[in-house]
Amino acid sequence: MRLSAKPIISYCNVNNYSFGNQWIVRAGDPNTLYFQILDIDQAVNVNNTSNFGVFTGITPVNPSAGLRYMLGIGSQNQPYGITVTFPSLDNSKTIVATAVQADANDSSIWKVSLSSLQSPGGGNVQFAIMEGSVVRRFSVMNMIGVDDPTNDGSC
Amino acid sequence: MGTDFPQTKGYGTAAYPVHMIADSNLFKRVEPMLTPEQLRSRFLKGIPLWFSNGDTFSDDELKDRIYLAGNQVELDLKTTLVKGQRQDKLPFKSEDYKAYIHLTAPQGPILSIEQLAIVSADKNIIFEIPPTWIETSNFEKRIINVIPLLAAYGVNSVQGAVGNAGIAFLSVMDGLNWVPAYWQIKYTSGLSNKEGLIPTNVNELIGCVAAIDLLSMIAATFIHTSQSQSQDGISQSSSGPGPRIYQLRIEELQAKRLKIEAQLRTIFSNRFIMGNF
Repeated sequence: MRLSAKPIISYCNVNNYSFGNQWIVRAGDPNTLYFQILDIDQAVNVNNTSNFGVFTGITPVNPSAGLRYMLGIGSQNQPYGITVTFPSLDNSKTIVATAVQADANDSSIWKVSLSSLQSPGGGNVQFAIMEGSVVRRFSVMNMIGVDDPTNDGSC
Repeated sequence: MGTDFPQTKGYGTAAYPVHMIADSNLFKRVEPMLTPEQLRSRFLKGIPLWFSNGDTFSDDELKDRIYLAGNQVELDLKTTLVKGQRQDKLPFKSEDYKAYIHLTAPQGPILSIEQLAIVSADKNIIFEIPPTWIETSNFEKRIINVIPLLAAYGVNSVQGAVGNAGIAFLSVMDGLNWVPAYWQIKYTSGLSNKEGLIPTNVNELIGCVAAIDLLSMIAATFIHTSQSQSQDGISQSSSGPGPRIYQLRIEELQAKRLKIEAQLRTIFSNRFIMGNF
């Protein structure tokens, strides 16, 4: 089982949300970032393999990135929690945030809240998932893009 | 990941546009890393991203292509897109020493320097150049100079001198022309001072590389240059470019890629044009 996370860009409730490829935030804004934990070893292939293609004008359905993974299922997986790290070359700018379950009914969807003083660097985001005595770590490539409204003409 | 910087010195300007200290914010020249949506809208508009057997490119696969293209661009430009800290040892060359310790770092552009020291092969710091002496204004060209002239205005101590141990090393400056590993530099290099933001033109270069690969993969599956069918005296035929379907677009992207690469190299390194006059 290899876990990963997929960014959610608009979240209303567990039955109403949409995925994105990336969180896009503005440096200096307070942000609440939602994500869903996935088991990428259980990618559900819903692709139609019946040989239709470029001449039919039908776009094949993308395979999903993985089956959602619910944390804390079973007594051996208690307690559980997620730590999210926004890395930086400079230790003083690395942000480590504790994620909170977005809804008590779905332990696959979590959120982290960043204050206006916490400005992450864009790029990869690292996750540590604790279940019982087990810790699973992974990094999601280029999961966050950060606009810098204070000086976006140069870097 | 992560490094503490007990001391660091940069020039204090942007990595890109080079040496910019302020701008009007009316025009954007940097942005976060290319996304799959941007890759499609900027480079692959109108191109069907699926194959005749039903295979397709998902967003995750496009992300993977961007990741591969980003690594390719790092190799092409001989730098890193985001900043990283490096440690290198450079040779002692007498002619460079006479030119205010004119050192050229293997990687650039340099964003900041954390250490410049004479370090022995057993990794002892013999002599550490005071940060105040290090000239930083040519960092974008990978050049480090040491100008100790300000000593006359009050610098009266040198950090890191290890007793008499340095004498042998310092004496080589008089007697030898070349020592293969003499100066140790610890520095931060990359194309951006701000993590997560890269120059827009670099993003365009990444997009060109990714789009060329994608178009090449898709075009290879167009195996027929002509097709015809007939039945009971009625026939229909069609012909097309076959696997060369996107050749023109690929060539245009390739030309654009080479042009951006050359322009970025001009900004971030020294290009010498030599000839007989």
